[in-house]
Amino acid sequence: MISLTDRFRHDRSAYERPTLGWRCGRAAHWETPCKLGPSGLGICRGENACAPARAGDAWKCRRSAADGGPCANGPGKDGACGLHRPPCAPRRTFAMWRGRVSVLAVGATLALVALLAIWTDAASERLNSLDPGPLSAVHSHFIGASSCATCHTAFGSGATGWWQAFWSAKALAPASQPASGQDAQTPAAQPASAQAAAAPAAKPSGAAASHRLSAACTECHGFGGQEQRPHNRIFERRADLGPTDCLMCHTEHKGRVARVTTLSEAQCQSCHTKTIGDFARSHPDFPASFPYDHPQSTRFNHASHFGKHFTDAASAARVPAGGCIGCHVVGQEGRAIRPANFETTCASCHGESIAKRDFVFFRWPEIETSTIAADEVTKACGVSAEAQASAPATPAPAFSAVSSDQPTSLSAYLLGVPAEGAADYEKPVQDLARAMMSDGVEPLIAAVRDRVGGAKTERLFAGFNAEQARQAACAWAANQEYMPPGKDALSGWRADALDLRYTRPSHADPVVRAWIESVAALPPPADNDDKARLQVARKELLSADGPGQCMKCHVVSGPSEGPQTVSWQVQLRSSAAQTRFDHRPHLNLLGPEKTCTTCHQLGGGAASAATGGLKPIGLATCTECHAAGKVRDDCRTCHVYHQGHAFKKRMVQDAK
Amino acid sequence: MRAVNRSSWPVWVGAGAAFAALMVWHRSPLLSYTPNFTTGYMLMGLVVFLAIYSGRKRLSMLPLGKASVWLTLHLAGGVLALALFWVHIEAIWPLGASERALAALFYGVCISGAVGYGLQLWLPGRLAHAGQEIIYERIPAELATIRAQVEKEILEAAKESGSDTFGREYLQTLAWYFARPRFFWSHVFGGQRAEHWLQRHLNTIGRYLTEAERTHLARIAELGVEKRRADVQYAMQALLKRWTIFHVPLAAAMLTLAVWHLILVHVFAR
Repeated sequence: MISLTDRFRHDRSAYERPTLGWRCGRAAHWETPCKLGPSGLGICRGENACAPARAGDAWKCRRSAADGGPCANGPGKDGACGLHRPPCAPRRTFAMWRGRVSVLAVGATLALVALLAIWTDAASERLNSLDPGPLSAVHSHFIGASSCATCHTAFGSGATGWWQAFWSAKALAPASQPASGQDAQTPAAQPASAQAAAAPAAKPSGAAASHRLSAACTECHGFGGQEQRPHNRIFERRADLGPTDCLMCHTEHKGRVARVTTLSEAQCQSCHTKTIGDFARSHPDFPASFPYDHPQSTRFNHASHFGKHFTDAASAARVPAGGCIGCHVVGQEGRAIRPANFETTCASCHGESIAKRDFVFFRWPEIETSTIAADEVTKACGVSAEAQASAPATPAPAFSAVSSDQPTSLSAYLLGVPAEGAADYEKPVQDLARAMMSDGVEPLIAAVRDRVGGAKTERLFAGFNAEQARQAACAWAANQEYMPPGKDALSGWRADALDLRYTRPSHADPVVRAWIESVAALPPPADNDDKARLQVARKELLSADGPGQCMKCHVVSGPSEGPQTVSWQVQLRSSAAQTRFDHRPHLNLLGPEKTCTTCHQLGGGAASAATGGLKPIGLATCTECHAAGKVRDDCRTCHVYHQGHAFKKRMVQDAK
Repeated sequence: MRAVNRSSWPVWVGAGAAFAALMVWHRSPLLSYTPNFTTGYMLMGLVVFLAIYSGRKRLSMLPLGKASVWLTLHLAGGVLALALFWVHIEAIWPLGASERALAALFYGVCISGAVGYGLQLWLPGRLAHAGQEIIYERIPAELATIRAQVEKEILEAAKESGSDTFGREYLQTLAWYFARPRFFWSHVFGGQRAEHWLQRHLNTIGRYLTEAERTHLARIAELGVEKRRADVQYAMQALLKRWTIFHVPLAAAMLTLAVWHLILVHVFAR
């Protein structure tokens, strides 16, 4: 410890100031430094031991006591110190050197940064001070002559551009592109569900990106909806949700192998504050009918088929072999495993019953009084009417119609007459018969064109035998049944007795399908009577026992009064566009001992029809494997963020 | 002036709590959409605070708190900055050239700071037990005084003996020792090389001296021990100062590059 008694006492030694910039040159040579030390400018002040003071006419030595007090020589007559010595060369202190090195380091850094910033060529591998790291492999291919400016609009924009970009995240944002819903080319491989979900939201992109870099992303990347909205959708009940930006989740320049789309749980949970820490323990339960909670396009009850029909000895031989994979095509599909075609799966049992359900388009009905004169029939058709057989003198017997049936409901709708009460419909029907006798089938087709619509007339009457239909009208007008020539083994249009019918339809028969589609798609007529007639016709045509038994499996959707649509194709899980599932890895992993029924079990209780006779799949089925420490269980295993991702930039421009 | 002692625990607890809060925030669902900007600004602020410590030492005349508290804050802040740096870059080593240069400087500052703190833990205790405390700036004068006393002894010996043997031997051997501080690294690491060297040469010279001259040699030996103590002070105090020649310039360069980085992210990363 330095004490007051030692030689460094304040009155015995100089006061050191280590932060000064200069130190005595003598001290630098390990000699005794002068007490004054150099000046602030580094000039030696130790040439003289003191600065003598005038005392009257003489000069007085002022050497301090610490230096030995007044010297023996004393000042000269001119007042100069008597102890003169050569000046030293002061040296810079350590603090000064450290400061200089620091300034040098700052200067070198600035120079290097400026040099490498100016000497920039991002397309080359040359080092530059703007280099933020390598792009991911997917984006690195887009770096061309425009280099960084492909995404960073401030690049190459000069000092003014940098200044604007520094202070505003929106400055220099690229011009907005049309929303993908309008312009983007939806990839063919995109799931129909995603397209369906995207379609209603195909509006302009809404709010502009709040960052120019996000705006640059959407120069190329388009989404099936609102680009700057969470999940590219508008959540009606969440008005509090603000716009989103690509940068919230995606970062670049993390290396060639980095995946831009890989996200963390925390990123999902930054909005989804209902924390799901662990899939197995805290994920909400699946919906009650999951995954069959989407509208069914075809009716098929797995439980009744497996439990009843497939075990029946009479039909067992016709059941497709292989269980589930006897009907479902495994190995090609990802999300849903589509059933094979009708011929492979259903035809062996249901093919014949389809052919037995003819489509009776028109039936000549029973009438009470015939207004068509016999000679009128003879003249138009060349056939003799039944009435002409009686002698003129004999009083005419009471009229007995050859037909005892009512018109079909479709006939009634087409003619705009009631299906019951001959007095109400016999005149329009006989007028039609009269017209058909002279003009052929055209009056009937005109009625269809008028009531059903003309767009599909060709399909509706494909293969229609107009002459046969005319002859059937002639026969009925002559109060006879029409006897068609030949056998009825072939399918197609034919007139048979009193009917115009389409016989022996096949699966996916285009004529029957056209009639069903056309009648189903009719809007409710304004007239109440017409509306009632159409309802009856639609009910008959679209019943499970209707023509071809189409509706036994295919589902009609829409309001009961129309218009309605028919699901001819099997549509698998069109809802929940923001979830994904791939059967393929599951099938490969589960192995031969683990079949489809590991997850898809027969049954389902009261909701069985809605779920196709299968038990809903619960969370526990998934968590058996997907759990912490087992198979991947993060959010993105099953959930997707974006909807309808597509590229706005097209490789081939549309022809104009 | 140790940074980890009883009085400084609140600072370290505070730093630990700050880091824990940072980690909770960074992993929480309430995370900012652009956490790197937030952590970047936090890191920048912390680094600027750490740089202020240098200014505090220059303004010792102002009542800005005890130097020991500032040192503790500097150390705790430095550790927190390192943790925050890793959170910010989400890696140990970034990829871009600019970021790598900045990271290299940051790590350089951290390492030099850690070395400096290690020296401050290690050397002051040894200085206190070195037997004689001398202000660093006065060591040249102290050495000059010792050297003058040694030469005075030799002159007296020469007068008494009428021989220049002692003087010649001194110039050939001991003059090197007394000219300036010697055996720097030996003193730093607590070695005995100086003692052995001095003793060996004193013994050698002693063989050629008369009995009277040996009395003066004994006095020179005492001055040699005194000089060795001054050398020890010089070596350790010099080291305590000189490590900052790495730390401070590196920190200055790092701050410069950090400002460049801030400009780049504002211009290009948003």
